Amino acid sequence: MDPELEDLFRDDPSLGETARLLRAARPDPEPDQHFRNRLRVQLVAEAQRSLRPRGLRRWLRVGPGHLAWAGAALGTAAIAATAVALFSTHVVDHQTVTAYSTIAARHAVSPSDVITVAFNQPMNHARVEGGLHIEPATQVTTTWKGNDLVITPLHHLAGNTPYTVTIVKPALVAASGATAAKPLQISFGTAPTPPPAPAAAPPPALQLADLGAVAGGSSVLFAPDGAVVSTAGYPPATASSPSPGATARPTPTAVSSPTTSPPPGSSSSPALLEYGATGSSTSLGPAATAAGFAPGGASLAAAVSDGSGGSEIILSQADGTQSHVLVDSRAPIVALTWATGGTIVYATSSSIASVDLAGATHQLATPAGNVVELAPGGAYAYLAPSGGQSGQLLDINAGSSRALNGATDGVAFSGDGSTVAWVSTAGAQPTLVTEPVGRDASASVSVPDPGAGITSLALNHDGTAIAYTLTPDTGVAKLVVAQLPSGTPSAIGPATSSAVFSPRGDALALLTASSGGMEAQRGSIPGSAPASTTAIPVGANSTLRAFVDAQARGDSATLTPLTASGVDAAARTPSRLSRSYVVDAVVQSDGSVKASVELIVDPTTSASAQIADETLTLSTAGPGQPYLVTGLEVTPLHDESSGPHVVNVSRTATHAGFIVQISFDSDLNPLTVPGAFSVVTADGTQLMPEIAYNPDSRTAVVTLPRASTGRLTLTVGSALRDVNGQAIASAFHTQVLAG
Amino acid sequence: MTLPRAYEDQLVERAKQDADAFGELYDHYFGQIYRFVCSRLHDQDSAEDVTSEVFFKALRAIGRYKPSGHPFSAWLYQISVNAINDHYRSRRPVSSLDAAIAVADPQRPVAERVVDSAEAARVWAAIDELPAQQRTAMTLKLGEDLKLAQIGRIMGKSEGAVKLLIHRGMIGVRQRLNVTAAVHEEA
Repeated sequence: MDPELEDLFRDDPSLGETARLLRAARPDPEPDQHFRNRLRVQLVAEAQRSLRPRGLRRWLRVGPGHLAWAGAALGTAAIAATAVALFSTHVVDHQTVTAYSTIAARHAVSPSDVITVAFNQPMNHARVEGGLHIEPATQVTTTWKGNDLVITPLHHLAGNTPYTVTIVKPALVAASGATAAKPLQISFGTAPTPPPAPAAAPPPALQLADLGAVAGGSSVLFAPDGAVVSTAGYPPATASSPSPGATARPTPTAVSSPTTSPPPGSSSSPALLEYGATGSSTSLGPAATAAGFAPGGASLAAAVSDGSGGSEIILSQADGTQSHVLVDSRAPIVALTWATGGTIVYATSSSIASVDLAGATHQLATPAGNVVELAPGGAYAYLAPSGGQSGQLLDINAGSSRALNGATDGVAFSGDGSTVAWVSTAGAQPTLVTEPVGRDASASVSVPDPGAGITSLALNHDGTAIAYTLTPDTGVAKLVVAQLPSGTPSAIGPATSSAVFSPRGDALALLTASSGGMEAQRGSIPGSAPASTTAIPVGANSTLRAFVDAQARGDSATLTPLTASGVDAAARTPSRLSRSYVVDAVVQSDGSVKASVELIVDPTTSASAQIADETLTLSTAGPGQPYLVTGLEVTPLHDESSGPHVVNVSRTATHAGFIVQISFDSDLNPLTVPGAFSVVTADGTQLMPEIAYNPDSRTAVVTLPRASTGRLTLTVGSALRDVNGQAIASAFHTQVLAG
Repeated sequence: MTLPRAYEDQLVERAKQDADAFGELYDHYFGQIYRFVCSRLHDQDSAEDVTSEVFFKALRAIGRYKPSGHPFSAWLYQISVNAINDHYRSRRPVSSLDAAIAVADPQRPVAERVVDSAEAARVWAAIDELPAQQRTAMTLKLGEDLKLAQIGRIMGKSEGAVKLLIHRGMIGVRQRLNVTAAVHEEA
């Protein structure tokens, strides 16, 4: 809640509660975009006149064209007296071409948006289209809707990228012959969607392993060692129990969620069950409504029925031993997550609280809606739709919430809690949408069969992959695993009622329907095994992302605890940044991680994009200790060069060989891609990799031969051209540790 | 999105002479001002008229604008408050408390009714029944999340006076909703 309101109503909590609820449910009217565009065009046209030296006198002069324009602007509906009086004092003529775009000056445009330019009069279409230029180079199609030019990128906009759309002055010619006073320049930036990671081949099938029968209402999760756990699995009659020394706890007789009968050969009572690699299973405790492993994996928390309508949170070792009751809740617990190694956040349908390992609880929120899910880390919660409105995303610490447009079903959070995905039913057909939890900047994800039903969403740890079940009107439902933000499918599998990514993103835990009921399965994603030699430790990756995001926000309070003493990150970070992104991160021989980062100030109408190149070093003091930024080198801000820029490098070991994917901000000329890449070994031997270009994600996929080993240098040379013929400003080099 | 203060100051200075800079200010503040105006008028046509008036008045007066230590938006809200008051002086508000409560379910507690967004918009109309100063302060605080000091600047009042207005306004809203709900229950 607003601290000032909290303070104001400290002595009268009921008033504070009413204020909080009113604030949470405040109206959020959606303005008519046509009105917004028209008013913008009128204001800028008027400003061009009135802001001149003699301008103020012009306010009182009535020009011949104003009534027609004002009439068109306001429509034929009843016009309020104030508006008539207002517009009758303004001169709006068609002697000068003016234009406006709703996305101008915005910093979080959805990559799936189109660019609309609204003109104040009918234009010469061919002349305008001929003068259109977009930086970074982007292939587009153009259409006209009345006086509006609609520019549609062929392969969507790149995420987290500053754009400048220019229409040169000689091309700004109206149908009447009127011209513009100066070129049109629209600057904006796109939302920070995860970097693209396309598939190099048609999607293969998941490699499935059956694990065992589960009760209805069960969910699945991954244990720290990669084993799948179901919250209500049926143990086989011979299932092993927790090790000796475990505190014996009876399985509750009334578990609310399981609804199906046990299959033949199974124990009669479902349990929190871990499936081993050899087909065995181990009971970790009684069946749970929610469960989660602590960061680091040493402890397990599970919410179980207390047999009288409420829930208990049972804390144990990861193997289910040494369990004890941490919390007894009178209401059923619907979700829990570990906020830190010592704090658990849990939710009933109407309340969110935290508990430490000593059992001390703290009320965090009583949201205005039913809690359905908690984001990993416990900073956000998803509240069910009510009253015909969309579901809400609640910022638990701030006490504020915002609608997830069109969300009528469940959501999925990424494992790091930074991204949320849902299915929007606001449009004519369901749309898969992702959004950073901290920003209202949604991005649509393309699916193979538009119009098909989309259910059972899952996001991987860092929001770079999504899984969902696609149910077409006719045909067989299937599970699709896809890269984000492109939506490119990377694997397919059986339809599921629930899916969860493994922490490393190389497998899914699934619940599928079988003839005997529900079954847990493990599905390995072919070709997605991370390269163990170069994979960035999760802790380093988490620190790196949080640090770079905080730099973009200018959030020194967040930077400080992520930085080693002696490194003044706040002072060395350029001010007024619009965005930032990690281009590349490589594990060094000493175990530290070196990352290349770009820090960007978006362009404006009077200044081009500014960029600073940063190199960060992240190190840890030892096992179990957090990674901190121990080194920071950053250049001064400078104008961004023209031509394509590398925005992301990723490395993956697959059955086909070692793959390096290099993504760009520009649409590339595909003919120039093969000749622009070279790979040499440490002794200077030139390798001959396979190179493919995926225009949808603007990514070059370099596949090194399986025999390649050692430290290699991959270079992107100046032969590379974008679709406008511009060369990469300077050669790009990166190290690859293959084999 | 909030503009960094230094950048905003530069942008406002440029907007005194540069139409595109004024357009950029409009891009940043249109949503806030439209939402505030709409939350006070509840009528799209009126909200569009008054929003237009606010920005044209801002354009006319921006040459005289001097930074006060508060965000530029505080100045726009100040113009908006005056424009809304002018609007109310020239016509009666479209929404009324009667209309708001007519659809509310009296069997449910106030808090529960408020959380239903469809009803919440109507319950918000109860604020319209408050004295003008209270409803302005309530809307700026609960609808726009402005600081008390900023609201004081906009309304030409001390921070303490704004606190008093909000406190009284909240009591007024609660009384109106409870009294009306009780009437329904008796009926």
